[in-house]
Amino acid sequence: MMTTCRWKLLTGSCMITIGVLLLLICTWLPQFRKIVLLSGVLIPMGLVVIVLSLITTRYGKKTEFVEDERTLNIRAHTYMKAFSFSLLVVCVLFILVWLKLLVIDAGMALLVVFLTMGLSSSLLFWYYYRQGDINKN
Amino acid sequence: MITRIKEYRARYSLTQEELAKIVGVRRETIVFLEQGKYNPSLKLAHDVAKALHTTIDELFIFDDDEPGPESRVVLVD
Repeated sequence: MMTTCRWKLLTGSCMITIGVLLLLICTWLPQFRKIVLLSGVLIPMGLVVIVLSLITTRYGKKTEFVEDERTLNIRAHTYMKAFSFSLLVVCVLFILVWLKLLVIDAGMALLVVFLTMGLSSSLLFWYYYRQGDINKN
Repeated sequence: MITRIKEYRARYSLTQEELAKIVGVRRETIVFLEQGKYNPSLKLAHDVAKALHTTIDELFIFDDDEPGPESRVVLVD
């Protein structure tokens, strides 16, 4: 089984490789500037991922995060709640756009959904993990 | 729910980390089990009981373990 550090190193390496490849082939593709911008984001992000994973391996805690039934239960419950919450946010956005109270493009709507799902799942996981269980006794 | 995990763990001089390793869960799960904050699955309860050489009903005590006289069932031939 691959450790988390190896996964992070692999992810970082893939990001850098894709960034460099995009830079190499971007002259043949349309949307030249956008591809250069994308590779300009991918390469530093890959470097950051690699450096951070090396630092955490060297100085961080040695224990790996082991999934057991409690964490799996919490994770499943968290994702379910995060999905429901995101659905609610999408509904609210839709109503606001429908009532012409808000003007939002597809990219921004997707960003809102990603951020809502990511943040709410992280926060809920942290909350339930501290609480111990998804059900209060 | 009250658990006697701590008591049994002390009897066998096991740390939370060691018990967690035997059972195959995180140490925090053992902590929450001991505090009665986590309701384990039947499998986990069985594994913990097995690791501590006891039975599930010895290890986990529920508040309604002592039923009232009206809830008792009398078996008749």
